[in-house]
This record gives sequence, C-alpha cells and structure tokens, in this order.
Amino acid sequence: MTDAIITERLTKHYHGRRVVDSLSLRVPAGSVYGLLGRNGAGKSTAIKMLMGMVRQDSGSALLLGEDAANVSNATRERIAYLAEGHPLYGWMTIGQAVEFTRAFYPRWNDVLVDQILDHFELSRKQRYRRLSRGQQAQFSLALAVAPDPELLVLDDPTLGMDTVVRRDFLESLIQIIQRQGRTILFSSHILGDVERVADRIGILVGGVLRVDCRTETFRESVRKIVLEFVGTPPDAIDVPGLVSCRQAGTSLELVLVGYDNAQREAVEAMRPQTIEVLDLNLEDAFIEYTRGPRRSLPLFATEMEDAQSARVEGAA
Amino acid sequence: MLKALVLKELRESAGLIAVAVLVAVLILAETTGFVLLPLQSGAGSLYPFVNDSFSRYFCLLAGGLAIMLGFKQSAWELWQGNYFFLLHRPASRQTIFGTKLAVGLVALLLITGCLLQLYALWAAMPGKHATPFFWTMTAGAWQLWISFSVVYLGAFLSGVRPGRWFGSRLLPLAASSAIAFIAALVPWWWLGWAIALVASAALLIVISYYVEQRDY
Repeated sequence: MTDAIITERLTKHYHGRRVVDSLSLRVPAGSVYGLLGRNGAGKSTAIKMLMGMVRQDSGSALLLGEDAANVSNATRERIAYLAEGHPLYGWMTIGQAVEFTRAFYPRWNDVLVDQILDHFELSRKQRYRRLSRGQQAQFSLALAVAPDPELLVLDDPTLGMDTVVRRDFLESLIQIIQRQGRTILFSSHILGDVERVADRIGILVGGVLRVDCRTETFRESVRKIVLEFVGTPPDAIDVPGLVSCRQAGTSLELVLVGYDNAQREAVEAMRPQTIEVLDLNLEDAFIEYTRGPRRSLPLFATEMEDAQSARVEGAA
Repeated sequence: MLKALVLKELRESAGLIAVAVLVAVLILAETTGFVLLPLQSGAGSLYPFVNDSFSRYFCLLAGGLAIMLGFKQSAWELWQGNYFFLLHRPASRQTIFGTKLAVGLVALLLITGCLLQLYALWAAMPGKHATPFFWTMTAGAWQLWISFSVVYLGAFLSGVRPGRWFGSRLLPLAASSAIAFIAALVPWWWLGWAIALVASAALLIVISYYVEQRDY
C-alpha cells in the first residue's frame, strides 16, 4: 500500500517556540487517520504545513507524492482541504459559492452537491454567513467532495458544533468514506469523533507525535494500575512506560503504556499491598495520555507496533 | 477560473467602488459648477489645472481609494481566514494575487482617470471658464494620477506582508507614499511617470515574493 501523506522531521517554530517538533508521519492511501491533541498541541500548524499554507522551518512533507510546499495544480485538484472554522465568503449565496468553486475544477459532481443540499434542506439562495455552523460544515464538505478528491484533509471539522450536529456531520463523513474509499486525515480534540471514523490515530503532545498506531492498539495499550499501600506510597517511582502518577491517601494510581513483565516487576518492587489493573476506554486513555507530564510521556506506538510485528515475523 | 476570480474581486470591492464613483461625481460637480446638492456653491473652477481645488479633491479621492482598496483586497481576506479556502484552489498564487492586483489597479485608475478626463474635457469646452486652456496643462494631473498606483501597491503590500506591530506593517505604505509624493511633484512629467512605473514594478516583485513565501 502506498502512502498518501509522508512527513519527515517536519518542524515549525513560532516566536522561538517549537510548535511542531520533528513530525514524522505516514498516512497509508485509503486509510482514515485521526490526528489528536489538546488545543495548542500543533495539529492545525501541522495540517497547514501539509497544505502549503505554512512553510516548515525544516523537514519535508509529501502529498500524493509531491512536495507539500509546491503541489502542482493537477495534484491540488485531487486534494480537498477543509480549514478550521470552514472559511468561505460570507457574502456569497450557496449557489454563488458552488459556481465560484466549480470554475476551478475540470471534474465536478453536480449531482452529489445537489444531493447534499437537498439532504440538508439548503437552498441555493441562502447566504453562507446566514447558515448555522453545522450547515456551514455540511456545505463545505459538499464543496470539498464535489471534485471527487482522492485525499481529504479536515482541520478540526466539528469544532464548535453541538453534539447532534457533530453526529450528523460525522455520519456524512462516514458515508463519504464508505462510498469512495478515500484517504482522510482529520484533526480533532474530541476523541469520540475520531473513534467513530478513524482506523488509525496520531496524538500530538506539545508538538511531538507521541502516538501513531491503530485506534484499537492505543485503547488496549494504556492501562491504569491502582496500588494500595499500608503506609505512605513511595515518592520515587521508576516504572517503564509511565504516563502519569497520582497519589490519593494510601493509594497510588499509575497510568502506563502497556503492562508487560518488566513493568509488572517494577510495580511489585514498590511492595504494594494490593495491585489492581484497570482497562481504560479510549477517551480516558486519551485524557490520561495527553494530561501527563510532557517530558516523561513515552513514545510508544510506532516502536511498539514495529516490535510486535518483529515478534510475529520472528515466530513465523 | 479567471472570470470567477475577477467577478469575486469586483463583488467584494463593489461597495468601495460605488462610494468612490459617487465621490468622483460630487468632485466633478463641485469643480465644474454643476449643482447636485443644496449646499454646493455652483461656482466651478476659475483656472482649471493651474489654480483650482480639483487637485486637492482628487488626491483625497485617489489616496483614500488606493489605500482602502489595497487593504481590502489583501488584509481583509487574511483577517477573515478566507485565504485557506481560496489558496487551496488549483490555481497558482501568482494567478490569484495577479488577478486581485489587476482588478484593483484597473478600478483605481479607471475611476480616477475618468474623473480627470471628464474634468479636462469640461475645461477644454469653450465658454465654461474665463481662462486659457491647453491640453499640456493636464500633464501634472496625469502625473499625479499614475503616482497613486504606487500608493495602492504599497497598501496591498502592507496587507500581505507579515508585521509584528502596526508600525512595521505599515512601513511599505509609508515608503510608497513618499515615493508617490516625489513622482507626483518632480517638474518633468516623464520623470514622474518613470519613477511611478519603476516603483510599481518593484512593489509587484516584492508582493509576488511575499504571497509565495509568507505563512497564512
């Protein structure tokens, strides 16, 4: 399988602060990739660099095999981009926006646009600025998919939407994915959105890509270990893969990536009275992971998958 | 594609252009003695292109339009976030910004040029004023006319060039206004035109650099 997006050590500074730090990412063609992170984690900047809206300080990015900073018009026709907030000319009516956008594309699916407009009961006479945020998102999506793009890049498409509208938008997105089998990269800070559509996730923490794996792999990897002590829990905690640590009275809650023998031995070495291992759901895992102290977060995903695949290959 | 871009630019600047046309009509009426509004004197210019208020009114209109149009076409779109939509279309940035600049320059030069030409035609009509008129007397006004293209391009550059604070952001506008002032006031019309055209070409090159290289 080829990669629709490849970045190598992509880095960007703003006012001396490293906003995206050595981002190396591969999005396989045909996959749906969710780029997660808290506000200010660097998701939008990373996407803007991919779309050529922001110049990287170092590193490289390829979109459908072309340098992201100098994508040809022919390749740009094959890429749809929905920027954060769905910017479009507020003075345009829906009909005018369709006409304006269509003028740039030799291939344009009028039937699909009409279907989407009908489905969401949008009139061509409505002004874009008069639409609700959800309607703006739906209409922007219609404009994005009308030229039949191979790659869709969506920057926090559900930002500011209420739950119902968000669900509707995601349903549309799922239909688009199922219908065409396109490559989709989208960023979000809402894990539920990603969980519904993404088959692979990346998590940016402080501009660093800390996680890059299949969604299930991440869910299964992060665990909470609750240790109960007779007296005060120890201060010095040296457990591999430690994400966060919280003390509550005589108990100690550790969030770990994985729970293998080495980690088990390290936990037992602390001599707790009881050890309870809890599985976290995806949202809790994401919250725990992104809330943890940035410097100490383990970079686990790609290495772990590589190690797993290496083990499988070794066994075979 | 070009037609769509031109129509978009015209539609976005339509309000500003309409106001400028209205002001141009009022200036023409005031300087030719045609009464449109109740408070107008109806006197008209006594000595067109030599000793009249036309140049002052013309500078106010052309300068105001050049600055507002330049910023409207560049910074406004940036501020609205619409560049993320526009610049992702399959068209080069040179085409997109080239169309913006062409529409802006044509609108500015056409409105101010028509005003100037109509005033000159009025001045050339016999019996309209009691002073001599030769077409060569309009050379200075045309020199003034072309120099405002430099102001427009300076305003456009100020809108697209990143700046940390207002002072540094407005630097291109201040510099281009100073050059336009020199171009308008040098005693030889051909030198004024040469200065304006060279400065415009230089500004176009700098604008072209920034639209390609800047972060949006």
